[in-house]
Amino acid sequence: MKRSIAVLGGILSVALLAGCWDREYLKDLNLAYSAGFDLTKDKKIKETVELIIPPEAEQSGTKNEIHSAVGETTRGASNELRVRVRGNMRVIKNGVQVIGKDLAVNGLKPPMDVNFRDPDNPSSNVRLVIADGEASEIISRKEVGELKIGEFLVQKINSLEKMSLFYPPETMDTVFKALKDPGQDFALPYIGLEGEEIIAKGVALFHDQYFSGSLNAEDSIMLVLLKGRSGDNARFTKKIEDGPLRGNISFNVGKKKVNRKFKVMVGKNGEIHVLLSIKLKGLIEEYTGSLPLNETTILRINQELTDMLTRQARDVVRSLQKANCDIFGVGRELIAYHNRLWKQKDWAKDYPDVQFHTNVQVSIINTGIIQ
Amino acid sequence: MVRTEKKMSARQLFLFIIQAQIGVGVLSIPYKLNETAKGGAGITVLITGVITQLIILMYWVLLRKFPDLNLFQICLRLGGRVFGKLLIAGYIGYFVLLGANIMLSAVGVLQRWMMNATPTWILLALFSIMTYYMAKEKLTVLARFYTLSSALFIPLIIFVSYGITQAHLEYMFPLMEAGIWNILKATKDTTISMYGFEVILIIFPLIEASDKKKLMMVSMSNLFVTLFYTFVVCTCLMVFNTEQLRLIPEPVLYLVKSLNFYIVDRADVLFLPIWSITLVCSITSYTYSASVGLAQLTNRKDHKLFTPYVNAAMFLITLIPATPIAIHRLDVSAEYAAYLFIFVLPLAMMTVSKLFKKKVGRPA
Repeated sequence: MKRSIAVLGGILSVALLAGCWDREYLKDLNLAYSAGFDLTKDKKIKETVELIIPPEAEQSGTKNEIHSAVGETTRGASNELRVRVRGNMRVIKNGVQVIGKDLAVNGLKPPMDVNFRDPDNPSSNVRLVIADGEASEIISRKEVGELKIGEFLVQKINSLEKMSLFYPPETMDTVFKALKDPGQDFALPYIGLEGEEIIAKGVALFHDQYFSGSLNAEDSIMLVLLKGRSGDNARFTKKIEDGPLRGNISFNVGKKKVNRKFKVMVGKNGEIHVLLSIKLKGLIEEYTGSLPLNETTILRINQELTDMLTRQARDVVRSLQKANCDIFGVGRELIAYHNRLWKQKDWAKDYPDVQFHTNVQVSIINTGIIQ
Repeated sequence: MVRTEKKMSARQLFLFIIQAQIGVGVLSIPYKLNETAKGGAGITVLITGVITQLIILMYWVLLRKFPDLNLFQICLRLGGRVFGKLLIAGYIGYFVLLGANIMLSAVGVLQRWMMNATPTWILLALFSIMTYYMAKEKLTVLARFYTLSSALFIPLIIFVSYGITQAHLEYMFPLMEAGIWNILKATKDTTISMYGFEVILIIFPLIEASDKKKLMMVSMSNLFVTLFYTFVVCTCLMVFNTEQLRLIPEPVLYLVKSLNFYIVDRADVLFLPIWSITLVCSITSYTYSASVGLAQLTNRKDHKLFTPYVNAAMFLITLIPATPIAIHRLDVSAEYAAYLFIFVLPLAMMTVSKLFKKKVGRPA
């Protein structure tokens, strides 16, 4: 008797307690690998997704489909999309979200809310990208060469991160952090269409949650270096106009650690000074001038490049202030160490008045296998 | 005395109290403290640890006056038949309420984060069954299981530590933003996650060690838990900024979710099941205590008979509240009940016991 009860209980618990509610079969899902969001003329959200369709026969590859729909909100548009596509659309494998410029100008908080709120939405490894123009145009390219658009975008962003165009990687989570932080802004990769090709235009600068300016590709690298970071490589090509050094020079400063000094100081009258200096160690990869790169030339090249990059860095900082983008977290330093002053400040107004003292120092440490 | 029950060792006591103390509260204390103590949250946790330590000392003074007696027997000894039984009934109610409260919050968290579609009552039933299986056993069995599951702290700590890679020290400053007074006041929000050490009142006579050693071990557990909480709270405060924390009721999980372990996304889904085992230990401690109380109340020796009733009571209590407001009410009532049963009543008993001893002492 006792044994039969135990057996019955065992069977019942297998049947009842297996936790069969929260399961999803991969075969029933339509995975959205990439998604794009745009603002329509009547202020609605247009969502464009790339769905991955599993292969019908075993050996053939997957295919993708592009769909789009309009809704009041992001989730609204997704629901609208679910009406259109077969099966259940899920974003659990989402790797990249492209946001149209108009939507970014209008503010990121409302359209991104669902990404932070729903635990099923991945956030730790999802890249956010801003499109110059419409995000749907980029997603609608469908395939770039052999690659599907989602894979292409992810690979492109990854390789550009290695090239220090965008670094450290901005994911959904870091953006969430910066969106909520009054003393820190962020920048996102900025891509656009040029003819048939999808190219990286640099970075899009944000103030609070609003798109407020952009930097070109070379300035983006400078911005990354000014943050004291670099990917695997950080390459510049500069032209030395005149003098005996005349020629073009390509060098890479991403191989060695960037030595950065960043200090926020408060003057007597509450004016804010920021000391920002970086020391870069460069490898010359290409030089078209006529002088051999011996010690004396290298010293002169160091001086020349130091001047050039300092000028460039100051331009970058000026653009940042113009865009009101506090990407170095000056405000955060004030909150932490000069809290009373911070409370008197209206950061959106006062940030452009911060005085930056920017310096870049370059020293060449390697010229390759020839002098 | 014909008690044949085997006693647990001092090392087991250390892990037992840790398991009982660490519960669902820690997942949300960074959020609560962010509202009140702001940057000083770490200090608040440390202060709470000190207060807890004082209460533990008080228990110790009370307990060593009555060697071989547990809380319920002391109640009877001090309060007499009628009043003592009332006290015991009160304590049983308190343990059931607290166990139910932990179970409800645990299930709430599990549902929000990973099991959206699973009905609440299923999860509650699963928790109840697990705790029943454990709580009906003898204390040594519990102790052994708690010791075994303590190994699971290692992955938990690793998960949280990994968050330090994203930390910004500046987020925590200024430390004293909220002011000393608010930092002190915020200890109120932390107490709820410190509960659990009161099981010492029940298990004290069942430990194989000198009184001093017992105190040492319990204090060590409290130290461990306090430091662990401080670590968790500080990590969360450094990873999230104030504005962001205001939106995240369970920052610890959010932190784990936002970590990227190359092949594993959503590490919170790994974190939660491991965490659940610690929660089961907490609930089990309360279930066990309540059953022992019931056995005492009815003059039976074996608490095993009463465990199902305790579990059933917890299960039913947790079924009632459906809205967040009702859940919050349960939370608040558990909090005030805790003040009464953890602090006020033991204090009263200790005072009475002092008088009692003098009275006894005089004629001799």
